[in-house]
Amino acid sequence: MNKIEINNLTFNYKSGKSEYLALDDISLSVKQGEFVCVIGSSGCGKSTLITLLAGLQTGFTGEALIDGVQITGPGTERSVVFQHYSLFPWMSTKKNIIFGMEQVKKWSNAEMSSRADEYLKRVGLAEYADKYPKELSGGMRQRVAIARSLAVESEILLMDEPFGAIDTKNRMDLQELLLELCAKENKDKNGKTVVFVTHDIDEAILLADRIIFMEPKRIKEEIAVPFGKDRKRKEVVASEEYSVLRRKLVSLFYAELSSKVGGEEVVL
Amino acid sequence: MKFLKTFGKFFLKILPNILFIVLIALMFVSGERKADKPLYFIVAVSAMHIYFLISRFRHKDQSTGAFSILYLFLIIWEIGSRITGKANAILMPPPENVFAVFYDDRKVILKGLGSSMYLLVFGLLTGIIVSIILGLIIGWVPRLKNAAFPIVKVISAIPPLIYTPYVISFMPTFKSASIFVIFLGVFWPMLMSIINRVSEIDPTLIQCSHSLNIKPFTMVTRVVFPYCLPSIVGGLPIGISMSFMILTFAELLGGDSGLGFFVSRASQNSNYTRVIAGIIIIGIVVTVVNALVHLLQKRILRWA
Repeated sequence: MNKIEINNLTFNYKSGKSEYLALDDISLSVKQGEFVCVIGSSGCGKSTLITLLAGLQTGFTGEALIDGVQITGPGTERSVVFQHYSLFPWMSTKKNIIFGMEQVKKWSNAEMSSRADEYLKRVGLAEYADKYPKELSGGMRQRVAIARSLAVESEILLMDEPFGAIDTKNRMDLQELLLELCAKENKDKNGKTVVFVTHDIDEAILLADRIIFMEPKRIKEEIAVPFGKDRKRKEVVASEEYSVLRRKLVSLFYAELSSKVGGEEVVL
Repeated sequence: MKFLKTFGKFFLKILPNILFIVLIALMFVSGERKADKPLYFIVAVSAMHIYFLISRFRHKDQSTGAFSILYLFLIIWEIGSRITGKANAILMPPPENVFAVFYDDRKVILKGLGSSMYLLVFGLLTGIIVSIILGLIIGWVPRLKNAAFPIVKVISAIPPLIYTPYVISFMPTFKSASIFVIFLGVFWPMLMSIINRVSEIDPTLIQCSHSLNIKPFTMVTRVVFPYCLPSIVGGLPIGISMSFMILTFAELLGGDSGLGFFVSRASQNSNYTRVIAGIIIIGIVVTVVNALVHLLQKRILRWA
């Protein structure tokens, strides 16, 4: 059985009296342990897809199944990292991570405290346990948010442009950290399923096992990425497959752009 | 030119010390009138000056200007009331006499202070707690908010001083009336600001909380409440000043104890020395209370 299974999903955004078709008859399946990147230009519905998978929006038609069960709301088997820094400003970084775990009710207080320390160490913020979010940079806050979403031991990690607002250097660090953390989780357990939304082509190729390219409202193409779980940025970027993939994705973006402009094919 | 500038700066810096010496010297000048007990005034002014020297030693020149003005005021008061005797003897007693009241009437004053503080703290605390609980609930449930908000808006705009005499006449005792008026004075504005704050809560925090599977009760106590804390704590200084005003007013009207009563009884007996002493004490008390609230604010809102 697929971990995530979406069949003929359609979703209308309702705000007041007006309605807006955000997703039109989408079908997609994600296997256990798979890292899927959803890529597309802004407004194509990729964030909406994550919100639906997270259970933060309901009222769609069609099927959206987690382990064969229809999504009706948020659940402890899923955790979410948002683009905006979503830490609670009145809690220290450690408290933020513990607060996430408290809602799962799987661990004792002592266990939660040591797990929080462990995950802070994994994201490289061991010395920042007692700092408040306002004392951290954007990149550091996002590290804490990732630590919080990993500490709850959910099976599915949903990430909505988590590195979108972070400068290039920090973004690259965070991408490698995420690769490393997922590889570690996969070694420890039976693999974390990740759905990662981005508009960055390089980020998608570096992270994903499979890339879902979205045009507005629907999925245009699924592209398999031939690199293993223990990939390194240097090797990936240097490889032939990387440039092929990159060219393909760029042309997909351009095809969409030119169809908007006037239908002329852009030759690259 | 440059010399004048540096000299001016130096002069301003030592000005409080000069004024202090002048003030002390003035007390030994025999004037038109005689003061009863100059000792307490000398002690009080010396204590003030020691405080000034300590605070200047710890954080430089911030208090220099304020102390200069204070001493100047006392010097004018001393000269006007005692040395030249130009001011009205009954309405403007010399400062020595006023400061003597602090010592002579210390028992009455302390008792009044205790009684006022008891009413104030009790009324404030109940008002704050009840308004927080109701505010969180009303603000969080849209249906309740739509029903209650217009009413709260109207009532919180009524100055409590207007209905204070009415409450005093219908509550059984003066104490219960004062507590009730203070309660109302804090409750409505606080309720209003909490409902406002709850409804403008950052939607990203709500979304994040939902994604963490937070249950509704935890949501209100651990997310919405701390989110409202800055506005609750931020409203405290005004709330406290307001309730102190209401309390003093109530004591003036119909109290049998308290600082407001101390002042009103003295003024009925035309004892303006005591009236002035009472006014000064109330000023000091309000300042101290506000300083404590400021400390509390800093402590609670370290994260903001």
